[in-house]
Amino acid sequence: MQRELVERAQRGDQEAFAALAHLAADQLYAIAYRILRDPDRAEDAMQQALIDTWDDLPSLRDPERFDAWSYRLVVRAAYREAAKERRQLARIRRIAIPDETTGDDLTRIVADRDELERGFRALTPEHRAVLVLHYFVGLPISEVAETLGIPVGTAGSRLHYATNSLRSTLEAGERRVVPMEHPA
Amino acid sequence: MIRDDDFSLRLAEWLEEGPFTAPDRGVDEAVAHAWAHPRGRVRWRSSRLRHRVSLPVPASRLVWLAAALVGLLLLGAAFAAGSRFLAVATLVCPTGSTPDQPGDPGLARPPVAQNIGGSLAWDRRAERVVFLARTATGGVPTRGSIWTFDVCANAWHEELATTSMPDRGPVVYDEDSDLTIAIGDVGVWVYDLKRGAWDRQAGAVPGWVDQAAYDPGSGLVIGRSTSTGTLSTYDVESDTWTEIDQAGSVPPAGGPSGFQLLGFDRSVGRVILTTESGTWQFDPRTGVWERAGLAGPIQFFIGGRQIAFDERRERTLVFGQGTVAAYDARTGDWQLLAGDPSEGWGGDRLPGLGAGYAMVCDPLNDRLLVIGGTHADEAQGWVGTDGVLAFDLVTDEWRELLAPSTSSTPSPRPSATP
Repeated sequence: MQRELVERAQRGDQEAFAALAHLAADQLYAIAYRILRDPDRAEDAMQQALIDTWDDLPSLRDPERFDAWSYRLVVRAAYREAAKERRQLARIRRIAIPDETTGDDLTRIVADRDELERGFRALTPEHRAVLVLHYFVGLPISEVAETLGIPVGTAGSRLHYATNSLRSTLEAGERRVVPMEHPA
Repeated sequence: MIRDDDFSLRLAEWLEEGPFTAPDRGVDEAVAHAWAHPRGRVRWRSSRLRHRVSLPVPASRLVWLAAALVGLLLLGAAFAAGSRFLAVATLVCPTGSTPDQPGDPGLARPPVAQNIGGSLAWDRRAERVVFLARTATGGVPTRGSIWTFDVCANAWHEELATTSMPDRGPVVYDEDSDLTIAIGDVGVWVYDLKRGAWDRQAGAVPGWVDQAAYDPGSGLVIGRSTSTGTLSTYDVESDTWTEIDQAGSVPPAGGPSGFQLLGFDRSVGRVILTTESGTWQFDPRTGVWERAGLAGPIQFFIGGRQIAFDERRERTLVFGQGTVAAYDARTGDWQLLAGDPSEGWGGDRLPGLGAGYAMVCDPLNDRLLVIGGTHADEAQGWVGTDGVLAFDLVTDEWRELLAPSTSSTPSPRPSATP
């Protein structure tokens, strides 16, 4: 069904493109959000990716590759969003903590999320994109490279750097966490 | 040590958090926008789709070309007119100026009585110091005047004569909006140097915001209440305060406000808070505090404390009681640049030995400016001053930029909590 929509949209069928956009939007938005960590900017990136999809769709040779091709568009849009510095509203998200967790578990969860968030934000958008495509979308590293249009070796080294950096952040955080005391 | 599979699992779980569904309206907008424009057109990109304008390629090039020409013409005209509002970071004073020569003591200057408790901000576009000359009256709006200090001529210029203003509270320059913002107990005032306009904003201040710094990343002012530890952003364009959820190692609230300093360190893009018990950094993008260093010399300061950012060396500077110290936000280390904080009150004219003065960093001439306040005088006791002193950030030495006038008058000994 998606292949047919892609082919019709390539020929300029606006209804087909609308249906295709609604099919693809959730995944594009989810990827953009995880790279940018900001819902508004993720929406901007998703919108830009959809517009680029309409613009560039005639150049897509294999309709079966639409998903990977659209991922590349949204990652590029996310890069552009990440480059914008001016007047981005500081949106601070309260960290949700499950009610049943207590003591060391709670401390660990909060520390984990804090450290992951901080470590992730310290990475460049290029490194974030590799992590998101590999660990969130589930692409093997060869497909990550193909999606991003970079050599496999480059994708591998970015993944290696990004995971090492995040792991170091987590380990440093674990050393800082002081377990909460339980009442005797 | 975290094992690979454990780490991968934690990372994958964390990435699973967050939204999975795109806003329908956003998708519909994008589709409508795509339909409305033929393929292959160049788009004028902006941060929000609703502001986007689509132009054919030749037209967009013409617009850019025209904008560039107009910009060059305006730049040339501004240079020709010697405009003090030129929005160009020249980082040097104009040829022929005398920033190292003491100013003419006979020229007009803010009155001594309003020099105790005044506040400074560096207007980056005008490259001038904006000074709110005022006297504390206990939290209610006071009468004062607004002056600018030309750091290339060491001369004052009165911008606004007697006017209402907050009697205390932080003053920051919002470079995104090109406005100087004064936060008082009962409201926010905004000064537009270009228009010479001084306006009180309509909205109220949430609680007592007695510390503030400008975050150039977001274009927002970040305010903090010493007593409650509440942290908020202030958007001057919409006159909106938004409380920030704080996580991580949140610094303790409470204590006298004068013993805590809040600044923004551009080298790390974080808010710096230094108190008697330690130094913290706050990342506005994540909402996370981190304890990042010892207390620094502020714990020894008695009479007055000030904070500024040294852009050339990318370090935060604090000053008080004759002491200047630098904080490296990347390493969390403090370095003493001048003075000895353990010496206590002294008898000479160094501003650190008094209180009620104001300080700002002058990036053009690479120095700290300290204006007004009181100093100890053996014969007269505590004397209010209208002189201007500078701490040279290259040589770490003090110099006088404008000698005090003869109208300096005795004043009460400054309290420990200005």
